Amino acid sequence: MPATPNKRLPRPVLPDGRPIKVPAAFAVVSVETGAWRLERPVVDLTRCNRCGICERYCPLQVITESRTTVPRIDLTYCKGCGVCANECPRVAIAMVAESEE
Amino acid sequence: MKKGFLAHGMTTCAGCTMELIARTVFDTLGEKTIVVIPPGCAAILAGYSLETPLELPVVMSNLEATAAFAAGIRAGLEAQGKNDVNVLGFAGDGGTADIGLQSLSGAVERGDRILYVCYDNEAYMNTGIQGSGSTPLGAWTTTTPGGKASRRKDLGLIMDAHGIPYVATASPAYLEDLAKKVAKAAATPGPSFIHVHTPCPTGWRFPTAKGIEIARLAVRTGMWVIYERVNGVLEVNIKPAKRLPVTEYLKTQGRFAGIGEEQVAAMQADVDRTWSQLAASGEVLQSAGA
Ligand SMILES: Cc1ncc(C[n+]2csc(CCOP(=O)(O)OP(=O)(O)O)c2C)c(N)n1
Ligand code: SF4
Ligand code: SF4
Ligand code: SF4
Ligand SMILES: [Mg+2]
Repeated sequence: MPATPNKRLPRPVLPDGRPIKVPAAFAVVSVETGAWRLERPVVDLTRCNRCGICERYCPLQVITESRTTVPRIDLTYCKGCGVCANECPRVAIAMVAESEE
Repeated sequence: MKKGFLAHGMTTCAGCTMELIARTVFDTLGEKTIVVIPPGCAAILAGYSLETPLELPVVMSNLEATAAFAAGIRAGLEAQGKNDVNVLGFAGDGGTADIGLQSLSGAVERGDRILYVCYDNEAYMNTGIQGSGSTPLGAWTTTTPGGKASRRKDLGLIMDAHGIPYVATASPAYLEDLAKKVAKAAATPGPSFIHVHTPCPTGWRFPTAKGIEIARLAVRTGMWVIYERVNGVLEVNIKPAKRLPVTEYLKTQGRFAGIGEEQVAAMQADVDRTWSQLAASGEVLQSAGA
């Protein structure tokens, strides 16, 4: 692959010479996927030994502090998949049905 | 409390292991990374129009051309004298083993310095679970309603046949191994390819909690071999102490509910043959091309 250093690449332009407007910033979007949840993970702190395994495997990465203090789960996004409960070696996470309201 | 480069609320299915794999890959590569994602479930990560959940430069390629897009971006970076940027292609099995195979083959043949990660959920999931070249024998998909009649392609061997300097397999059950491989691949002065097993609750028909457990079972039954091949020299990174029968893996997934006994036997025979070949060679093989 030829590497020709070119510090002054042309700006993108339309065929008539007008510059193409490149948006300065994209909006970073996040959906409140917690609304999907049918069951919520509840940690039993008497069983939890702060091993961090639930945090490692949560597909959404919404568990924090599982090694430093206690596992905190961001329920704004948690989809209730149950991966954390399934992987916890201490069986310290219960999946509890969300109430109707 | 946001962690990493991806927003937390994405519309991937609950329990999607592709999402965990993507997060691990992005976190390992860091902010000096340009990402190319073709249509497929991972297109959710690229976003639409001016909205994206990913805080890295990302372009959605077309399904045939992930590797060509990545190669073009690399050429552009080289033309500008920028050598400290990773160029990542992150594509599904349909976009890799079938539709994008020609552009991947071309990029690897040319020696373009791109990192290509194939997340393999073993079908075209985003368009409704159609069978792909990576769908395993006996698996139900909407285009193989009686179970797939043929074996899957071996992507790792296809890459090895190109003389690629770095090719590896990985699994979301072994995230440290995956992260180590991503870092090694990124440091490779040529093309690199990582093939990641990607259990999919929606397409494989299993409960959303079971993705990591199923990924681990694939390794423990010997169905998914975790290896690395550096300049043609193969090393198996995870060797199950006692291989479980393949049925332990198959029975966890609804897509194998209708599998016949002969197909199970054929799969077990394939796995046994692979592992006896590995054992006979001292588990470190020299590839044919090396
Ligand atoms: C050339 C072409 N053919 C078909 C499509 C339609 N299409 C979009 S996504 C997709 C499935 C891709 O499957 P895969 O790469 O395995 O990714 P997954 O959806 O499984 O994550 C298909 C067929 C397309 N975008 N381009
Ligand atoms: S996996 Fe279980 S024991 Fe380990 S930190 Fe999480 S809840 Fe606690
Ligand atoms: S239920 Fe799923 S999304 Fe929610 S914290 Fe556990 S692993 Fe994460
Ligand atoms: S279909 Fe499978 S791979 Fe696609 S988002 Fe859903 S779980 Fe993930
Ligand atoms: Mg797929």
